[in-house]
Amino acid sequence: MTPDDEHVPLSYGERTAWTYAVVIPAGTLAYLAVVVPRVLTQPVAEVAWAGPMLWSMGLTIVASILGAIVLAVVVRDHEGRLDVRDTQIERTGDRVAFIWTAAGAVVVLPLAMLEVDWFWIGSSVFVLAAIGSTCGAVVQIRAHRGTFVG
Amino acid sequence: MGRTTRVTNTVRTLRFTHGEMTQADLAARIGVTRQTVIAIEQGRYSPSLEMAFQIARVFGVPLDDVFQYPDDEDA
Repeated sequence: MTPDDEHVPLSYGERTAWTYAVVIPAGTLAYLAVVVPRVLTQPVAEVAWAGPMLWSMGLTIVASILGAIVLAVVVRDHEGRLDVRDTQIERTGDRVAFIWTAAGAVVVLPLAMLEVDWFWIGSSVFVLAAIGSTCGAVVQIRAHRGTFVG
Repeated sequence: MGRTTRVTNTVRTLRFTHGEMTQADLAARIGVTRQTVIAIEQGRYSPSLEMAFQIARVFGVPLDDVFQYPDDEDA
């Protein structure tokens, strides 16, 4: 059995949270870096945003998988399961993410009623969901590293 | 997290008095990760009632020999 003074790796749950906290904002910023210059230089109705958004989503998923693999190698731990504490922390983070996603729905409804361009509707949902997922990941990291009462 | 736990425990002491059981050994016996055992020992995580009973059973002691909840005047 592992002695107590031996290296304590990040748990699988914490590694996942760190990965999300990095790749989700990076993917969202990459999307914004592509579409914002287009919005500034051409009519919004002509801005091609669906492709960059899909690419951002796809690359974020790939980066999450690669990040999880790299972190597992770096921290020298290949445990791939969540225990009861990890699961409780994950649910707490999911609740935070859900609040932002719900806020996204509240924002999108009036935008749709006002018949604004689809770009604003799609981008609002995308960015708010990304903010929520990032906040959820940060909450999880804080819970893993600090006190978690549940 | 903003809230902190008032639950204290003697898990670390009990491990040493039970054959210097390692954190990893205790973790394996109650079905959690070593990180969770460390969080419990450091008072950073309050386990569920069921896990608390499992820990007490590993050491063969009553629950309140493992976990304590101080009275208000002790807090």
